[in-house]
Formats: sequence, C-alpha cells, structure tokens
Amino acid sequence: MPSPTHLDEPRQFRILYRDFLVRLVDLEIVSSGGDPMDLVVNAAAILSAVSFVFGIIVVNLRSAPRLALWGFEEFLFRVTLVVVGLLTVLAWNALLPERRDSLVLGPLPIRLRTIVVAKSAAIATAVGGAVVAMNVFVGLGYPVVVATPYTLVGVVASVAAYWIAAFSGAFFVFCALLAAQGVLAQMVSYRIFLRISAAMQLAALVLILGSFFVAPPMASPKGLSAPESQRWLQVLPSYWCLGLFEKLMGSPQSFFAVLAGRAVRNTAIAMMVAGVAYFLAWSRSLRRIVEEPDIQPGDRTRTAARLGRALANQFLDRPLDRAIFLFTGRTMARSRQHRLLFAIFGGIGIPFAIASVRSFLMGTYKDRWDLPNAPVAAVGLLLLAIAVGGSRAVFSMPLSLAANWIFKITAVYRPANYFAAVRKSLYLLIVGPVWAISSVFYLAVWPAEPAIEHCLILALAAALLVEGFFYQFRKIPFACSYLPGGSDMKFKIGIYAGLFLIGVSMVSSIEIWALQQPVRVVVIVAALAAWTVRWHRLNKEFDESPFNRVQFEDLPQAEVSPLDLRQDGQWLGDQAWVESIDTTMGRTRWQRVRPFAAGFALLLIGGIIYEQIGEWRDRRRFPQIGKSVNIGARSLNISCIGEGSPTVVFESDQASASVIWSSVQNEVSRFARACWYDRAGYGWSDAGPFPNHADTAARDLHALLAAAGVSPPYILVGDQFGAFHVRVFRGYYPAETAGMVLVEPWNEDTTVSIHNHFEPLRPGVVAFMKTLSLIGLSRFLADPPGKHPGAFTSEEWEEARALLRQPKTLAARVKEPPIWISGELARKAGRFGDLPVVVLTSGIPSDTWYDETYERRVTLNSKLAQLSTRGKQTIVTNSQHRVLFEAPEAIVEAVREVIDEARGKSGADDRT
Amino acid sequence: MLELRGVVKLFSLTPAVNKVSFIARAGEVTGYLGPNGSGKSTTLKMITGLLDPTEGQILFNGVPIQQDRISYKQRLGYVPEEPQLYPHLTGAEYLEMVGQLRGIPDRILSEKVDGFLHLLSLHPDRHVQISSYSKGMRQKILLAAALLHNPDLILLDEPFSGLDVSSGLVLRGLIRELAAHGKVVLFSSHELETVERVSHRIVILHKGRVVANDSIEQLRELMSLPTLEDIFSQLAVEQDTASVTREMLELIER
Repeated sequence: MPSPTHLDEPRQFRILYRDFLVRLVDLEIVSSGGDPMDLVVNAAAILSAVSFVFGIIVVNLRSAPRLALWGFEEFLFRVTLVVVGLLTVLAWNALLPERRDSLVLGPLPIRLRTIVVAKSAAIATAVGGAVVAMNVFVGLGYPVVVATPYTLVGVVASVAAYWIAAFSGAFFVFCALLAAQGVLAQMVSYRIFLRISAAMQLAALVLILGSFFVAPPMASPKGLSAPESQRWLQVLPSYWCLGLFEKLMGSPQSFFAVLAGRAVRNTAIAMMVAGVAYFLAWSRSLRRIVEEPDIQPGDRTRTAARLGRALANQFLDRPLDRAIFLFTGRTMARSRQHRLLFAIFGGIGIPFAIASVRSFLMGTYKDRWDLPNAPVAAVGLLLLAIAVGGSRAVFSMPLSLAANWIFKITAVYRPANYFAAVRKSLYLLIVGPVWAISSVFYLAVWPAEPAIEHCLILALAAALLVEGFFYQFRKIPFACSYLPGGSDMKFKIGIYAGLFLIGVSMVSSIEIWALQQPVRVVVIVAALAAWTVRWHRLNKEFDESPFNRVQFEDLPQAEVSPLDLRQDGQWLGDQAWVESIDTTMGRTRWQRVRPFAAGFALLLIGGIIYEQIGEWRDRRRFPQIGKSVNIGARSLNISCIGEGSPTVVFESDQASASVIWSSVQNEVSRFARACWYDRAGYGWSDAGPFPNHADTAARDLHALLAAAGVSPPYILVGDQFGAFHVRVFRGYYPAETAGMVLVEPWNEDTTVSIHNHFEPLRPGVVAFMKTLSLIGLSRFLADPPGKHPGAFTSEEWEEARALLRQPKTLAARVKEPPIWISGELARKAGRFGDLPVVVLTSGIPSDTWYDETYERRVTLNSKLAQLSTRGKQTIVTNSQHRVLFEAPEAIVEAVREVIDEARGKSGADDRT
Repeated sequence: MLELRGVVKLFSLTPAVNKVSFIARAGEVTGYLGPNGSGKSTTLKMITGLLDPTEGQILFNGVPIQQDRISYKQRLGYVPEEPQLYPHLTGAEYLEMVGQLRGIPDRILSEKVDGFLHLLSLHPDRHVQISSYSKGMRQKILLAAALLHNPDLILLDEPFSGLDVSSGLVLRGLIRELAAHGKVVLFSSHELETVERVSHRIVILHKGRVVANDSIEQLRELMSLPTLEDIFSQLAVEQDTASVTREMLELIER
C-alpha cells in the first residue's frame, strides 16, 4: 500500500484540467441526445470559417500598397480581441474559485497549486484555442502576403510577428478582465462580489461589443498621428496590436513605436495584476466561500418581485398567464447565463443604434435630428428587433432542464393556452417596455404628429416581429433542451444579420418618406396591420391544431434521422408529428390566395378613388391658366401676356410644368409679348401622340401659335431639353424665328444614352405608367413639393408639382424619350445662320446627372453659340444648374438682348 | 381506483417494467417496493404520463389515462424521487407558480401556500431561493406542490428522503389521512418499517416483474414471515448481505 502522503500530481492535474476545460461549456443546456463537444466543435468551426473567408480576401490584397492594408490589419486584430473578450465573459464564472470547487475539491487530498495550475491551463487552452481557430487561415496567409523581404526568413519573421501581436492583444484582454474580477474579489465579501460581478460581466460584454462597432477608423498616417485620435488610441488594444505587428515588421513610423510600447507595457501590467489577483483569489477566497452561510438571506425589500406581481395582476387575468409571465421574468432576472445572452444581443444592437446616429453625434448629418429622419427612426426599430430576436434566443436557452417535469405534470390546459401565455409575457416583459421607452424619446424629441405616427408604426412593427420571430414557437421559455449542431445555423445567422441591417435602414427610409403625407401613413399602417393580423392568424391556427403539444426536447434537423436507440418513441413521435404538420392547414390554393387577392382588389379600388379625389381637388385648387386651343384632333394650352413683336415663346424642359415660366413671363411682358404653352400631355394640354419627339413637338407648337393667333416672328426660349425643340422649330420654320435663348441646353453629343431602353417595350411602359397613375400610385409615391426655389411662391411651386402628377403627364414623360432622337433632330436642323442666339450656362461648376462634366458643358455650349454668327455664351455666375430657378433675371436679360438684336436687324421696333 | 394492466416498458429492447398489473384503490395506501433498478420509478413515471408504456394500459377510475390527459393530470399529485426544482425561484414563488399552472384562483392559492409553508416550517425561508435549500426543505416543497390542488390520486416516490424525524412523522400521518379521505395513495419507499406501518397493500417489484401484490397481513400469513423486511428479503433481495459486507471491509482495508 502506498504512503498516505504520496500524490500522483500529474494524474490529478490531467483529470482536473479536463474537467475544468469541459466545464467552460455548460453541459446542462444540451439536449439529452446531444454531445457537449458538438458545441465546442461548432464554435471552432465558425471561427475557422471566418478565418477562411478572411484568408480568401487576403489573396486579393497582394498588389495593394502597404499603407492601405493597415485598416485591414487592425480589423483582424480587433476581431480576435473581441472573440477572446466574449469567451472570457462567457466563462466569467469559471475564472475564479467557485463554491463548487471549494466544496467538492476542498475535502480531497489535492494541493492547491495543482488545482490552480489545472484551472489556469484549462483557461489558457480555451483562450489560445480561440485565437488559433480565429487566425488559423488568415494568420498564415496575411503575413505571407505582406512579408518583407519575401524570403523564407522574411516570411517566417512575418508570421511570427503576426502571432506575437495577436496573442499579445488576446492576453491583454483576457488578463485585464481577469484582473478586474480578481481585484473586486479581494475588496468585498463573496456575496457582494457575486452581485457586482454579474453587473461587471454585462458591462464588459457591452464594452467589448461596443468597441467593435463604434471604434472610429484611424488606421492611416493621418489618423494615427492626429491629436484627436490619441484619446482613442490610448484605449483601443487592437491599435496597439497593429503597432506591435508593424514595429516587429520593421516599420520606421514613430506612431507604431508608441503603440507597440503601449502593447507591451499594458499587457505586462495586466498580466501582473491578473496573476497577483488570481493567486490571492485562490489562496484566500476558497476558505471564505466555504464559510459563507448555507442559506443566503432573501431580499428584504423585494421591490422587483412586488413590481412583477403587480404587473401580472394588472394585465393578466388567467393564472396560467401569470405563472408563465412570473417564471419568465424571474428567470431572466436571476439567471446569469440568460442575462448574459440577452446582453449579447443588446451589446450588438446598442452599438449599431449608436452607429446609426453617429453622423448626428459627429455633427456631419445634413438634416436636423429633432425633425423626422431615417437614422433616428431606425434606432427604435433596431432596438425592438434586437429585443424580440434576443428574447427568441434567450427563451430557447434551457435552465435546470431536470426541473421541467413540473410543466409536464401540470399540463392541464391546451397547448395553445401556453403559447399565448408566452407571447403575453414577451409583450409585457420586453416589447412593451422597449416600445414605451422609445415612444417617450420620440414624443420628447420630434413634433407631436410625426412622433405619434412613428410610435404607431413601431407598435405594429413590434407585433409583426413577435409574430415572425415566434412563428411555430412551441416551447415554454427555458424548459426545452438545446441540441447543438444545427447544420444551417451558421449560415442562417450570417444571412439574417445581413438582411436585418439592410432591412432596418431601408424600412426607416420608407417610413420617413411615408410620414411626409397622411395618406401614406394610412397605407403603411394598414399594410402593417394586415400583415400582422395575417401572421397572427397563421400562428393561432398552428397553436390550436388538435395535434399540437408543448415541446420539451429539441429535435434534430430533418436531414438527419435519429436512430432512437432508446426506443421510447419520444423523438420519433415528435419528429413524425412535426413532419406531418400540414402548414397549409387543409386549405385549397384558392383559399390561401383569396385574402391576398381581396387585399389587392381593395388596394386597387382605394387607389382609384384616391386618384379621382386628388384630381378633383387639384382642379379646384389649380384652375386653368391660359386657354385651350384646338390644333386638330386635340387641344393645347397657351398663356400669352404683354404686347409687341417679336413674340417670346417659352419651351419647357422635360418633366417640367410650363406654368413655372410665369415669373419670367411677367418680367418679359413689360417689354414684349410673352407666351408659354403646355406640350402635349403636360399641364392643361391634351395627351399627345406616341412617340412625341422634337419634330412632333415643333409642329404642334407651330400649329398652336397659328391657331391661337400669335403671329411670327418668334423669339424662342428653350430650357434644357426644350432647347432641342426650339432648334428643330427654327430648322422647320427659319423665317418665323427671330432669335433664340437656350437655357442650359442639353447637347446631342452627351445625351445619347439618356432614357435609352428596349424600345419595343416603350408602348407597354407608357401604358404601365398611365395605369400606375390612374390607380393613384404616382400621386402616392410623389415627393411633397419641398422647399420652393426663390423665384416662386410656395403655391406656384405646389401647383407645378401637382400638374406633374397627372396620368397623361406621366405617360408624356415616357413618350418623349429616347432623348437622342430629339438630339439628332436638333443636330440635323443645322446651323443658325446670323440668328441672334444667347446660350446661358451656369457659372457654379457642377456635373449633370447624366455625367456631363462642367468643363465639357461650357465647351459644348460655346460651340452651340458659335453655330450662329451672332451667337454668344453667357455665364450666369449665381446659378449652379437650374438658371430658371436660381437666376431667372438672367433669362429675362438674355431675352431682352436677343429682342434688341432682332429688332436692330429688322430696323424697327414693333412694340405697339 | 388506479389500475395497471400488463404494463410493459422497454428501453433498448430491455424490459424495465415487464407485465406489471395491480390495483390501487381509493381509501387505501398502496406501498410500492423493490430494489434499486427494479422499475419502481419507471412505473410511477408512466402513471404520471411522463413516459408512455410500450404495452399495456393504465386506467384511472376505469378510464385509460391517455383518453383525457388534461383532466387526469388535474386530479394527479406527484412527488418525484429526485427533488428537481428551479433553483432560482424561492419556495413561495415555486408553490405559487405550480398553483397558477393548475389554475387555482389567487385568493385560495395564497392561503394554501402560506398555510403549507407554515405547517412545513418553511415560512421563515419562503423568500430564499431554492438553490440554498437543504434536501429536506426541497422535499417539503415538492410535497406541498403535489397537494396544493387537492388531488384524487397521489403518487409519492421516496417521499421521506431527506426529511427530519418530525417531518417524517407528519408525512406518515398525512398519508394515512389522505387515504382515509378517499384518495388513492401509491407510494414507494426504501423505508420498509414506514411502509409496513402506513400501507394497506403492498406491491413488490423485482427485475421489472410483480412478485407480490397483497395486503401485508396476507403476505405475512402466506410466507410465514413476521416482518415486511423478511418478506422483501425473501422475494427481492438476491445478494447475500453478510458476504457483501465482508467483502467491502476487505476492499476498504486493502
């Protein structure tokens, strides 16, 4: 028999090391059919997959300049540090001695140092393993790509530098968290330590995730040396890793030396403090833990408990609802792991919300934050989505699975009652408070009307999120086991996260657009409500299926058939039931489609009524200006004022109501007769032929002027697209044209590709646009008038915008393209001879929406003016693009100039 | 009346319970005995509905329990062998939750919960989380939870485990009184003396089969053995206890 003092310490170490390592993964949550190692393998697989993706990206960076890669390097280190930080936070309870360690290991003949070394080794394995998994591909690929010199020694040195930097950062993060916990453990009693430690864990989680999402990009020479960056560089370890790596690679930059020094120094300090605190924790705390009283006194105030009970009594009638609500609330409040999981979601969502409004915080957003805007609107939606999605994840995480027998024994209600109780708890515990806090914020910050509308939309969005996330959710919270190894879990997470971020931004933008008009709000609210009701009905049908039951065991994926070696029928029974669910609930195809068809029909009818009412209102508000003149099969509208000859005729841009010429017309009428008219399909003119290029428009104008008794000669003023029409008119009727003013004219050389589409489709598009307008969609989608240019009153501007909403106008806008045809017609109209021509060009440089540069435009306009021996280009210095809006006086002056030239040539003043 | 007819339960083709049939009547206490691994807890779990039998039927008052599980569970009270409770809830919260899950109105429920906590000497610790409770305290919570709703059928699996002497005496008296009030009481225990004192009938299980099913007096007479311990040793104990004791001492001193 061996001596009583002989201890096989290596064997003890191996046993304890394995136990501590496995205990970092909570075994209790795993389904009875699951393997805890699956959880570990899954986590390692995810990290390695991410590393692989980064490795692929690295291959494409070979030719990038070194300077441009700093941001990517810093990102790689940041990801590693976040992973280590999260792992440390998740294993928070296992870092320092626990009560279980004291009570189980205390009586055994094991030296304290064996326990400490085993635990340290287990934690180091987990942390080191995470760093390796995270960098297994990119940690080899990236250093090889950037190695200098590109020799074997250089490559090895580069790889070593990368891993040294990565591990340095990882150890800093880990030791800093451990030090914080260890120092706290020495300062307070064990009971108080447990409470503060829980809060510290959550704070660490939010800090780690927040620093990942909110940290500003500074990885450039300017960023790293800027004074305003130094504060961030003091506290962001990912930049220290960057500095250490670059310094080891031989970079001469002084800021890297500073950062590298910081990395080494801070890591050393963290390791020292963590080491001392860890040693003290084990040597002093074990006994303290055992000496704590067996029964912890209850919370005397129990305020939270009273509040929970009051809420339950106030809002929930049925005992079952109250039971589920109180159980859910108490578990989330008291279970550290569930709080942590929820905090992970919060830790991701809150930084995203901050990032959403970062432009406001930095003062770079162009609009006011206290008026409705998409970034601020997105915050509420983001928080709700995170809250509901996080709840879904948390509710699925089991707690004390062995105790869920009580739910099975007391299953005296239909399953639908339990599912309804879960949803009620979710609304009362999570959704309600988040919505309420968001609503208070918006009501305080925004004007009342849009704030109320936004709160209503948020409420409906919340209901929709609940119905969506909890679709076919058959569990009592925390009472169903978890089966790791879901084959599509990793992909689902990535896809849903990406779609979610895009969705929130898009939805918020649509909402802000909708808030501009009450009818849009009504439509959005009705659509959300209908959608919510639909989902709710689907869920209710599923819940009330007679074969439904509450789920207590997670099921394997459908692709994997369980062997059911226990042969108790539990799994196979559940699996068979799930597969037998008729998701159509026995409805025929027509029955399933009918609600959508009915909704669509209602929308159409509502849209038509909305359009008719809108047109009626527009007719009343905006009576006809001018008179309708018959030119044959149709009539065109023309408005003329003033006296004299030649007559000035204004030709509008494409998609522009001619009434906007009114202010210029008034000024010109002081010294000449001035007329504007509506092209076919615009304003108060009838719809025109298809197609309606510059030739048709020119002939229409000629017929109109003749029928209206407006005698030549004419001074033609063409704005942008309208310049093509006036050039073609001059080409057809040169004797009737006394001069031209071309305002920011489109040029046939640069407008070749505008509105070029598959031409055989154009008739269909015309009909489609007209239909959209007839059912009210164009009116619904149209932007509000917005701020009116200074040359117009708000009423005039509103009238101009309203005229563009007409069905015939939408169709007209499609009948006029392709633009290049009108451009070619203008080119064929030839030179201008000795016609007085003024070409107005904006003086403030800007590129057009069809990618014509300012310099090219000036050159082309100059050449256009030179098509006449008496042509000139005038630069309008106080205009950027729309001379008609920004500097109408320049047009009036140009018209006067051309009239004077024209009268000078004719030798007569025909003003009577 | 609770009746089991030819109930079989197989785990991996091995019968844990093999054609077990017996009747537990209202107004009687039926003791359910057997060595570890004989199938007692499995039988009780099947009676509670936590497990489904592979073969056979379980009837309560002549109606198969699968026919209307909900109303059956409304009349069933169960104390499991393992005191698996939610550790983060306090004793009072746990009882309140169970009562609410059973649909007991709040006013009556709070009276009952308070009363049980007082009677079981748990009132001072009612706001303490169950994680701090001793084994006996947890057992009392389980007992209270099983009786809150005045069940007609009471299943007790090792109910005396962890109880102190006075609580054990209380429970013994309670079991008798419950039966006297017309309940069906089926309980299993390793404490043969207690079973002998409390039970009207005994069912002994050995390797999944019923080896005895009769009143204690009848069994004594049939087997000519004076105590239940002797009867049990004869029917269900295979080990030579003296020999096992000797060998264990040798192992310890090796």
